[in-house]
Amino acid sequence: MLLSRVREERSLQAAGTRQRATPNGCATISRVKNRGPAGLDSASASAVEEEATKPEKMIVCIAVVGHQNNPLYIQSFTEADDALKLHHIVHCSLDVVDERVNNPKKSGPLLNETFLGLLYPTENYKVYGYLTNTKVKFILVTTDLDVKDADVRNFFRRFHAAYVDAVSNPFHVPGKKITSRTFAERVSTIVKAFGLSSAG
Amino acid sequence: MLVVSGSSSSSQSAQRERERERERMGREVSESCVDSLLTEMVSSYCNRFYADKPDLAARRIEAIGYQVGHQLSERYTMERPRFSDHLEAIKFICKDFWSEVFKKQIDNLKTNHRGTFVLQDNRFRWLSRMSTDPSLETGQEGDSKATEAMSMHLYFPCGIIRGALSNLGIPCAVSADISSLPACSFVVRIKA
Repeated sequence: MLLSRVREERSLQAAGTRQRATPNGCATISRVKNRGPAGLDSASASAVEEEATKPEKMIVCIAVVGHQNNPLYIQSFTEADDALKLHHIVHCSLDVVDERVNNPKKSGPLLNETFLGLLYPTENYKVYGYLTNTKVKFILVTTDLDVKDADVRNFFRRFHAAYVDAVSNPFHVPGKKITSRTFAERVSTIVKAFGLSSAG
Repeated sequence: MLVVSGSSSSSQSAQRERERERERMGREVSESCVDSLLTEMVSSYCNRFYADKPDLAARRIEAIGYQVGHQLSERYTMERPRFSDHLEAIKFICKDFWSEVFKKQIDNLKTNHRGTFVLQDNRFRWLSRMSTDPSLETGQEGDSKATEAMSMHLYFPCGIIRGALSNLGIPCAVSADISSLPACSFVVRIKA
């Protein structure tokens, strides 16, 4: 049964473009799920859910990590309850950042640039990094698998500006988590703008 | 200081346009306001909060400077590649940072290549308008009092330099030397 569903999906994706396939794909899956037996094992169910969110191009998680690898701000933007998974991805990326910074030869011409580029791709996500002069790391996790570097650069530039404004608040204690509501609002605006620019 | 007069009749788009304009120009602050603020801050801490504990007052003023420097360095290094060594960071302080804060660069930079840097500003703006009380100007005692009062005003810029460098990952101690006024030297000792 699973096989037939996958085949159905494939044909759908082949028929339309990626964006157009999204609503169709979701509809199909939910229909199939309703029709399916109650004893559907959980592994395949979660796989189906992943399939459903995959084609959507968006930032799913953004994190600010201090110079001692202390989390300053971490926010996920998904409906699903996968915060733990995203936090894990962010956590893993910190090692990649350290590696990039300590072996600058590998990164070649991009020596000491704040934008670190793609840290690592996973099956469903791409993880980008940015390291400021003050050794604060920004980590971006996106489901958009063919995102342009320029878009990500632009995103980080705007995000950095928002971060600087947040830490310039006299009530912010350096090294503590950023709790400003204004910052959170500004970040979600930037994240939404990123989704629009890369989808269009 | 840039004053934007908000008239009630102006539409929202015009206001947004003005905001964008302001972003492009960068923000400016009146020099006399900063001078007054610095003088007032120093006198509050020295004469009111910690009148009989000048050490404590100095520490507090330095701490305020530290926070200011910490925040400014974050902002001013935004569009730059990361620094590869200490000298590069110090050069950034001398050139870009100083230009942003004082509209001029440090005039002379000396180093012993072992972690000590001397940054000399031949006409330090925050001291340029200071004069000593004429009633105190006679004799040795008056001189030392004037120097003491002046050095109180230097804990703030020292704190700014220390805050900026610390945020860039360089822990250090900063002291000021005003033996040849109006020139002012800041001595940065990097902690190994």
